[in-house]
Amino acid sequence: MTETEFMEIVCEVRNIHDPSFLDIPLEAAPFDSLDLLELRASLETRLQLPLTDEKFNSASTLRDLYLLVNK
Amino acid sequence: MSDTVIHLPQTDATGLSENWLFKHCGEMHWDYLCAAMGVSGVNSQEMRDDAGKRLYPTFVAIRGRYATPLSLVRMDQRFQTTVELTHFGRVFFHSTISFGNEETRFELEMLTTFVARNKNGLNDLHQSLPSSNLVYNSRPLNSPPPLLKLSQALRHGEVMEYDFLGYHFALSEDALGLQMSFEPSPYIDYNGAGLLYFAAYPTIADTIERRLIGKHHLADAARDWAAQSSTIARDVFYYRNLDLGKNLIATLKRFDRVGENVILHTLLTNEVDGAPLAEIITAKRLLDGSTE
Repeated sequence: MTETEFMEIVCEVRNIHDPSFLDIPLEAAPFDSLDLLELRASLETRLQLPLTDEKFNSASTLRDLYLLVNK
Repeated sequence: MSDTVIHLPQTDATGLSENWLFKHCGEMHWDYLCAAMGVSGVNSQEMRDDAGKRLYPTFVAIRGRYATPLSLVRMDQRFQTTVELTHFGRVFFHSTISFGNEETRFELEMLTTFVARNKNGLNDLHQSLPSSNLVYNSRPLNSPPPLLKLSQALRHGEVMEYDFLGYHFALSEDALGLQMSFEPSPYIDYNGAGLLYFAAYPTIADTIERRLIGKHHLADAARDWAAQSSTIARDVFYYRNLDLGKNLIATLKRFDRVGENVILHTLLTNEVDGAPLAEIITAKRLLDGSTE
């Protein structure tokens, strides 16, 4: 998945088009816990594979998450 | 499909108990969800996250649409329940539950995710999911259910105008500003997990709305509000739980007469920190004998 494709999914969840959000700490980003769950569900649906709690919860920024789903 | 005969446990002073209906449909949602997991389903005890912590369903939103007022349900009527369950990712379960017969139909749309407890005895919860090796056998959704996107827009204050049965109003507007403090009952409002039960939220709203309507003479003072109105539609958006023994504040923001219905909008908040607990929008049909 490219960074552009990842950001497209992020935008579908929260309508954020600013790539700088990739590096903002998740707690400071305009996502609440349900938004992050929706992002998780969207990624799982798009990638057709489950993300473990350990994997998902270890991300502290969207870029971390992007790198994790690409591992 | 399952059959139910209406007896006293399914009723309250107004007809079919919406509290019972929510509990019944909530249990059906959970039963179907468990049955859809793994090879042959799991039971509630086996519903655990990767760390082995027991999982509980948590409601994001419920939408109820009732073809006739709940007050028209009579004793000994038979109903059938059908459930359609879907999932979005491994995170959300969405069901449409129909409770009906030849005369009427009550449909509830339910959206849940999962939580696990951090510390015993407190509503200190974190979001978690079933073990990643469990296969989901319900129908997958390719995009988020509309109820999830509506819940998101409400949480972020992005809904300027709410459309409820075709009636549009500003959610942020507090037309009445009538408030009351309330302590939910440990005996009827909380469940065995120590959580304020999802089915209690609309009942608490009904209870406080009735008191405020009586106190401020918003309806016919000669008849009890519970006897002059009956629910025909309900939207509930769940934001937080409330620890046992704590009070909530209910704010009745709107009481609008629209044709033969009244639209009510109530916000429940935590009395201590003002954090929103739930937003409840209700349509009640005014019953014969009502006066303006």
